[in-house]
Parts: sequence; C-alpha cells; structure tokens
Amino acid sequence: MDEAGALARFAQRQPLGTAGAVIVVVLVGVAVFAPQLAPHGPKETGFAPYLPPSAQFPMGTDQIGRDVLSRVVWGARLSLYVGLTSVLIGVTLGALWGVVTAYVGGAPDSGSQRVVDSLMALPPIILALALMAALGQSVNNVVLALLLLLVPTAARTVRSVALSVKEFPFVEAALAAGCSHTRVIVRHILPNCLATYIVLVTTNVSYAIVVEASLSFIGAGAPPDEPSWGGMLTAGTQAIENAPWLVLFPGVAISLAVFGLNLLGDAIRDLADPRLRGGLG
Amino acid sequence: MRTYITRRLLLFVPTLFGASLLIFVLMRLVPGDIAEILVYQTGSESSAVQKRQIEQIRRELGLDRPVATQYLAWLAGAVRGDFGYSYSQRRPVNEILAERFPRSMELATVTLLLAALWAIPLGVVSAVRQNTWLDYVVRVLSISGLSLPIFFTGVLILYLLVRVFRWLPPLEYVSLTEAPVENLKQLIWPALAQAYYISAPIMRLTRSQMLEVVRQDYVRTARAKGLGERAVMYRHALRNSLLPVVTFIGWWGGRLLGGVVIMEIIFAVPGMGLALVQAVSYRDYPTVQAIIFVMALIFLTVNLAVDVLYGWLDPRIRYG
Amino acid sequence: MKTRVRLIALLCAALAVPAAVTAQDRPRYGGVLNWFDYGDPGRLDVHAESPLVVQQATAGVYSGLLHWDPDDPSKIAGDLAERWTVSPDGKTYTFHLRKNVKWHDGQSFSSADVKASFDRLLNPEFKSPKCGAALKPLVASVEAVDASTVQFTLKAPVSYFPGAIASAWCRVAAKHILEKYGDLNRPEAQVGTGPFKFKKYDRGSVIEWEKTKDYFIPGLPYLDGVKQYILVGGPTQVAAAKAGRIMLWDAWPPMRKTQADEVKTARGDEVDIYRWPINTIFLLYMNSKRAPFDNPDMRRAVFLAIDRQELITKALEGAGVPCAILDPKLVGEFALPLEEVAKTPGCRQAKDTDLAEAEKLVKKHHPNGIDIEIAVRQVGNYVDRAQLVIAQLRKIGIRGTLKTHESAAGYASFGKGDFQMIATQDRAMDGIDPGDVFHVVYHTNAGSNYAQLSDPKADDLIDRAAKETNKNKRTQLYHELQRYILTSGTTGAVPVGWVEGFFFRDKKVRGYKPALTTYDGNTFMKTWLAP
Repeated sequence: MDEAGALARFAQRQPLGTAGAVIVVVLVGVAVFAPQLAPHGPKETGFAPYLPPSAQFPMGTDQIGRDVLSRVVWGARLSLYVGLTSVLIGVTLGALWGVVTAYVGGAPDSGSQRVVDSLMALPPIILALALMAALGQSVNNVVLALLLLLVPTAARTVRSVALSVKEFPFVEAALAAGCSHTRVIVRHILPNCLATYIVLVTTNVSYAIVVEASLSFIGAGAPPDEPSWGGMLTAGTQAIENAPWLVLFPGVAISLAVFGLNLLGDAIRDLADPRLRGGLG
Repeated sequence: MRTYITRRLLLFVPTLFGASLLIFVLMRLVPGDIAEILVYQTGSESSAVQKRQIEQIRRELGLDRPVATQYLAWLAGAVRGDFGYSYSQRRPVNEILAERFPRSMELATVTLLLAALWAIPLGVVSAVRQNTWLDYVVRVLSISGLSLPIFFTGVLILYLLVRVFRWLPPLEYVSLTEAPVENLKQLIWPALAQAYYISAPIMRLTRSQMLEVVRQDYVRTARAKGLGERAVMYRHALRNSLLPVVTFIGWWGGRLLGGVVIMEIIFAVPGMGLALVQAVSYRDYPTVQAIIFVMALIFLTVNLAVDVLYGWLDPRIRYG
Repeated sequence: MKTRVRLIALLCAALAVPAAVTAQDRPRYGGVLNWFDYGDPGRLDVHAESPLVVQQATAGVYSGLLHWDPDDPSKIAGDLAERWTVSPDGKTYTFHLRKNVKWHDGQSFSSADVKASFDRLLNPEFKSPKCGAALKPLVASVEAVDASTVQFTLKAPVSYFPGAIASAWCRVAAKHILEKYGDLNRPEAQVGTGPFKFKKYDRGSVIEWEKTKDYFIPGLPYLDGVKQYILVGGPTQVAAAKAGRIMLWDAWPPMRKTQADEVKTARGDEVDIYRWPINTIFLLYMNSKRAPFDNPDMRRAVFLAIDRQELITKALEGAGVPCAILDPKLVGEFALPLEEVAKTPGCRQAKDTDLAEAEKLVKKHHPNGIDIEIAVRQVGNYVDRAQLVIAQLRKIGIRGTLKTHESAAGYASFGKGDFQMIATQDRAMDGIDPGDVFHVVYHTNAGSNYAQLSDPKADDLIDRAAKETNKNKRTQLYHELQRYILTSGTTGAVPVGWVEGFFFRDKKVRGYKPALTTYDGNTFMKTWLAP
C-alpha cells in the first residue's frame, strides 16, 4: 500500500512528529469517548476522600471524594474544547483581520494596529480576571478570555506576513488581469499565509491549555467543579506530600498533551516549509 | 531613523489612550466597587447603615460623578504624572508604583538573562546538529518548559527545596542595593521558573531562524569564499538569525516587566503583578489604571527599543 | 581538702539538677518570634477596619481597657484598667486606670486618651464595623472622671458589656496621635501602650514589632520582637512551616489535616500539632426575598436535607462540631447539649426520614425539581463545600449550578441579596458571648443576615436574652431560642456547624495559648522562646 509506505517513511524521518501524532490521536480519542471510558461522572462525590490509587480507583480520589481517573478522562474533553475553540476562533479571526488590514493599508490599517497594540499592551491575566468577574466564571468565558488574548497576536503576525506577500509580483499581475480584491485575497494572499496560520494554531492550542491551568491558580480558570486539569493541579498543590496522585495524574496529562501537540506541530511546520527539511548546506 | 523613532513615539499616545480607556471601561463593567466592598465585607451593620456608609464613601472618592467625568479627571492627572490616591491603601498611587516597579524589573531582568543564556546556545546547537539525537534532546527539553503551568513549576520548586534541603528562600523582600545576596537568594527561584517557561519558545525560534538563515545566499557566499565552517556559523549565520530572537525576547521582557502575579504569590515577592491583581480584586480604580498605564508604556517602549536595535543591526532593513 | 572539694562539687551538682529543671520552665528573655500574616493589611486603623489581617498586624502594639487573659482565654482581665466597678443598677461601669503608663513615643497615658478613642468609636458618623458596631447600641456616653478614671454609661444594663469592651478591636489609641493624623492608617500612627512597638511595615513583605522597653507590666515582654511574614499563597505558608521559618500557626487560615500531617512529617518532634476551635460558624444561607427560598417549605426542605456530618467530615476533615448554633466548648452552658442537638430534625442520622420529608416538600412546590444557582466566594475550601452541597441537594430534586464570586467583591453581592443560595459562608465571632452569633447572623437587623429573613419571635427572644442579667434566666432564653430555630427549620441561615482547624506550635514557643476567638491571643505579651 502506498499510504502505508508513505506513513512508514514519515515515521522514520520524523520520529518525534510521529510520537506527537500518536499522542494527539490518543488525546482526541479519550476526549471523544470520555463517557464510555470514564468509570464515573466527573462531578460525582460519593466516595471517600484522599484514597490512594487502587484497583477500584486507579488514580485515587481527590479531596472531596471524586474519582480522579474519571476527572482526568473528562478533562481531556474540556482541555481540548477550550484549546481548540479558543485557538481556532481566535487565530482565525486574528488572521483574517491581519490579512484584510494589511491588504487595505493606509489609515484603516494604522487605526486597527493601534487597537491591536492597545489590546496587546494589557496584561493577559487582568483581561481574564476582569472578564470572569464581569461575566461569571464558566468554561465558555474562559474560551472568550483566551480568544481575546490570541486575536491581537495572530493579527499582528499574519499581518506582517501578508504585507510581504502583498509585494509579490503575482499579486500585481492578478490585479492587472482584472481580478477583484476579494479574489486576490482569497486565492493568492491567504494561501501564502497558511503555513504561518498552521504554526500559530498548533503552538497555541497547547499554550491555551497551559494558560487555562495558570488562570485556575488565581481563580479565573474554568469553574472548580469542572474536570479541568489545571483546576485539579491547583487543588492538588495543597497536598503534594500526602496525596501526590492528585498532582501527578493531571500534571502528566497536561504535559503529554503539550508534548504531543507541539511535536506534531513542529513536524507539520517542517513538512510545510521544505527549506527546513534535511541537513545544512 | 530619527523620523521612524519620532513617528513610533507619537503612536504611543493613541495606544496608551486606547489601553487606558479599555481598562477603564472593563473595570466599570465588573460588578461592585470599593464602597460596597469596604462596607459589605464586615457584615456587621444593619442594611440602612450600610447604605448610608456606601453613599458616603462614594461621595468621598468621587465615584458618584458621571463616568465620563471620572475618566477625564483621571486623564488630566495622568498626563501630569499624578495618578491619584489608592482607594484601598489610602496613599498616593505613585508611591505604590515606585515601590513595586523596581522589584518586578529586577525579576524580569534576571529571568531574561537566564533564559537567553540557556535557550540561545541550545537552540544553536539544535540547529547545527539538526536531526541528530542532540537536536531531539534539545527539542524535547524545550517543549518540557512549556508543558507545565508556571504555578506548578513554582510550587514544585518550593516543595523540593523544603523536602530535599529543608531550606526555603527568604520570605521577606530586601532590595538588591540593600543586601544583594539575600535579594538574589529570594529572586533566583522565581526567575528560574519563569526562565524555564519562556526559554522554550526562544530555543525553538533560535533553531528555526538558524536553519533558515544558513540557506541564504550570503552564507553560501561566505562558504564559497573559503571561510571555515565555524566562521560561517558564528559570524554570519548566528548574528542575523538572532534578530528575530532578540525581538521575541524583548516582547517577553515587556510582558515580564509588568510582574508575573503567580510567581509573586508563590515566592512572596511583592511586585507589580500582585499589586495589580489585588487592586482589581478591591476595585481600586486609580491603582489599576496607573499600573496598566505603566505596563503599557513599558511594553511599547521595550518593543520600540528592540525594533530600533533590529534596524540598526540588520543592514538590509531601513526605516524610512 | 579533697573531700571538701568533692562535697562542694556534689552539693553543686545536687542543686544544679533542680535548677536546670526550673530553668527550663522559667521564661527566658530574648529572641524574635516568626510567624505570618495571610494578607497585606494595607490600612492599619484597628478602629475602622474589620479584616483579621489588620488586627493581627497591630495586636501587640495596643492595649485595651480590658482584654481576654493571655493565661486563661476564657476570662476577662484588666489591661489598661487595673480594676473596674459596676453600679448597682448595672448601667455605669467605672474603670480605674493604671498610672504611669507611657505611650510608645514617651507621652503619658491618661483617661483623655480613653475618652478620645471611645468617642471616636461611638461617633455615629464614624464607620467602625467591629468595636463601634458592637458598642454603639450599648453605650450612652463615656466620661473621663479624672486623669485615671473613666466611666461608661450604658443605655440599659447588659451582662456582656465587659466582654464587648475586652474585644481585640476595642483598643485604646492616643489622643495626640488621633489629633495629629486624623486616623490610624499610617505606620507612623501606630503608637500604642502595648508590649511591642511598631517597628517596620514593608508592604506586601513583612511586619515587625520590637520590644517596648518600659511596658507597664514590669518584666514583660520576654521577646525582643515579633516578625510576621506576609504570605499570601497557601503552599508557601505550608512550606514556611515545614522549613521552620515560622514558629507557630495561629487562627487563620486553619490548616487542613493533610497540611498538618506534612508539617509533622517535616518537623517531627520539634513541633506540637493540635486541633483548636476558631469560634467561627459554618453557615448555609438562603435568600428569603427571592424564589424559591421565599417559600418556608423550601427552606425547611434544605434544612432537613443538608448532611452536616458529611460536610464536616469531608470538607473539614472532621474538625468541627456539627449542627450546633452554639458550641458548648466556647460558650459553656448557654449552648444546648450536643446530644439534644444531634436528635433534632436535619441533624439526626440516619437521614432517611428527613430526606423523604424534604423531597416531599420540594415536590409539592416543584414537581419536576428546580434549578438554582449556588453562590460561593473563592476562599479557602468554600468551593469544595459548595460541590458537596450540590451533590446533597440533588437527592431531593434541587439541581444547583455553581456560581463563584471573588473574595472581596463577593461580599458585596451577598450584602445586596444578589443570590439564591450561598453554600457556604463562615462567620467569625468577636467574643464568647452566646448573644454574638444571634446579633450578627439571626436578628432582623443583623449585618450578616444575608438571608434577609425577619422572624419576630426569634428577634424577641434575642432582644430579651441580651437584656437579661440573671445568668440562669439568660441560659433559659438562649436554650429556647436555639430550640426554636433548630426545630422550626425555616431559618434562612442553616447552622452546619462550628469550625475547628489544625495548628502547630514550635515546642520552643512557650507562654502562648491559642485564644477562643481568631482575634485574640496574638499580642504575645507573655510568650517566650526556649533555647
């Protein structure tokens, strides 16, 4: 089979990337099949607290008697939801903003750059805190907060790429040939920004997951009863010595997710940019 | 170059204005104000008394004026450098700024130094030995820095210090000028945790920049001229690939100078990040506005400085 | 010659042994006590503020007229007052002040200072949520009879006035300082008559006191100073305890059992771990002015359904007294015996009968169950408690969604009645009078009556018990009041229990007794450090 051969070659050439891909596939699988995989509900509190890992509770129970394994499994779904939604919406919106303003140029471009700068100058944590306080703490508001963090950076990055793409000769040629601006943007500018976009998405999904965890430490992350890995990690720091399983399993979960996503993202980027393959010279 | 700098400096004004307006509006959208918090947090008076006290506090602080008036009054003070009085600490906000900023600055500087010293050489190594096991090790190491939330790294450091060495960093802050050793004994740990976290993207950026640059024509030319591999690498490739890295570090510097509240909480460093979070929590508008203003100013200044440096170092870039 | 020397040596040895034993029990001078404050005080005016961080930062600097005896925290003793007398009608208290007491800046203390302090506290325009709020309803006037005598005239005789005046919040400040600075917020204004002088306040970092050289009790204090690190993060506080950087853990926040175990493992024989009540009641509030809890049936359903024992076992790791409105450990006979409380509906185990009745009550008004928002501030482990409550209420058809509030701003939401249910919120008492919890939580005008429930019968009992001077009659009234609240079950503030916590003390720290409120026992006037 040609595909099998191609996959095998990919695995050989990009061992790290393959490892990453495997991890991500497992992550997505766990997230999708969470209801079937988790032995209990993520908010079920009927059990004795602080039980160490055992046959009945492979990852132990937490400080109010919930099954850690179930919460870690459901946590995959929450982390992936938060990471993917915030990044896909945020980076896409930002990228579109960057492309359009780069293309249009002039005063609108300058004005929107000021807005982007103003947003970027605000420390992310305060933005998240204020949003949670104003709108209430919920998973979707966490997504919103992360989104607001990602849009300006994406806009700026993609804008600078689009600015250079705008100067390419084929753009001028297309315009001279009578293509509409929209057509030029969609068929010429956007595709050339694709590599940057992919890089932004892959690096930011894991960033979003980790930022959500940090937000939970100061009380601005997902609501504490949700099975958020970051929330579990925060709660577990109160008892590292006596109940290490409370930080071990969510910590490993976060690390694995970040590793997988980053390795995979690196490999995709290397593939997309042929100049980065192979050795030097 | 000078026109470029002047133009950028002029652009500070609308950006600062925008940022301060944004945070002003955001803080007003958040429910509750200092009057309510001060009065309700005791829960010991009857509601009639409480209502009276709230109105009195609001009058004293000028919170009963229309919102637009409040912003303009703040703005008028801000351009003179007078940021008013903190609602929750009853002292001039400028005092708070003067007290807290040097600490965050020191922590940020140490963090950046550590991160650069660690990340850049490793990134170079990883690029020069691409696709070897060394490259893989460095890439895995770099990702590991990103993979744990920074609060966890901090708590873990504290825990291990106590568990393994039965030692804890100093819990009270002394300035670098007063007692440099004590100061560094306290700050080195949050700096390490932060540096570990930000070194990851720096390492990767260095690596990808190096990889890109060595394929450029001028490198090939240098090789063709017969320069040794080492000269090629370090004199030409490295210097040019560092520029985006410097920009990136500068961007992080701008962020870090505002103080990282999580590190400040864990390592008991009373810096700007903590001051800001506490001010938001108490709806201490003057302090929030002032700190955000200063943070934005720093961020913009650092980015400008880095861009200027970029232009000065790279002969191909000319700012018109 | 040799025998004589040997005899003298033997004699010395014989004397030295008991001397060594008593030397260990005899207080030593010197050393600095290290502990921590859980937040940055910011403002330091003990008359105007209410958070514990402020009181803790300034406790040793001031003296009161009376105070809770550091040697026996359940007794009131004179501080600046050597002795006091009560008039036969119980309305006039005359305090005879110590003579030759000096303020930390060298000026002399007199009754003028007492009058100035209490005039300030009792001023209707002055916001004093602790001492002022407690004394304003009681005191008609304060007069300085002569330089060392002060008279308080009460509006009506009440038996608990000494306790109110002994509060850690009713400290005496200097008249000349109040005149100079207007308030006591600044570090420079921290001039008191207490065993320690206010030495240093590095905001966000550390608070330091140093020994008062001419404190009015000769021979005290033993310590050279007290140092409080400002440690905001929980893991940092525990790490400081494990590394021996702090010598004791007092009052707030109480350690969890797991944390206490960690400290024990790390420090071993160097520390004593103990469990102690923090005179704080653990409450669940229901807003009686909003649906669904404006309906007394619904309130009763929740009252019956809440499993107090489970909450205390899981959320407090067993460190608490379930169900009681008054804790016998703290108020003695005024509290209903715990055996009686344990049989009341809502408290009795097993909960089958109560749960069945609760479910019926809910079904009567909401046949398909009901969805509510459960508010909670993000402090300590309130969030964990809320999740346990959610699980418990689900059994009777009440489906709760968690709504978290910020630590500071959350109070504003509660005060404004912006909630359906608060699960949960603790309330610390300022003293050990049985009336405290009722004046503060259950009375219609009570400041922490977040439920905004007005129960005339309860109010009547509370008011009568406050005025009753005969101890037996007063006990009867409080018993009747507790029974009424516990059996009617329609209260807006469900008493889940009284909170206790785990604490530690370095064995080197002597002469320190944890007090019966979170605000006392932190002046360290008689504390000393063994070598």
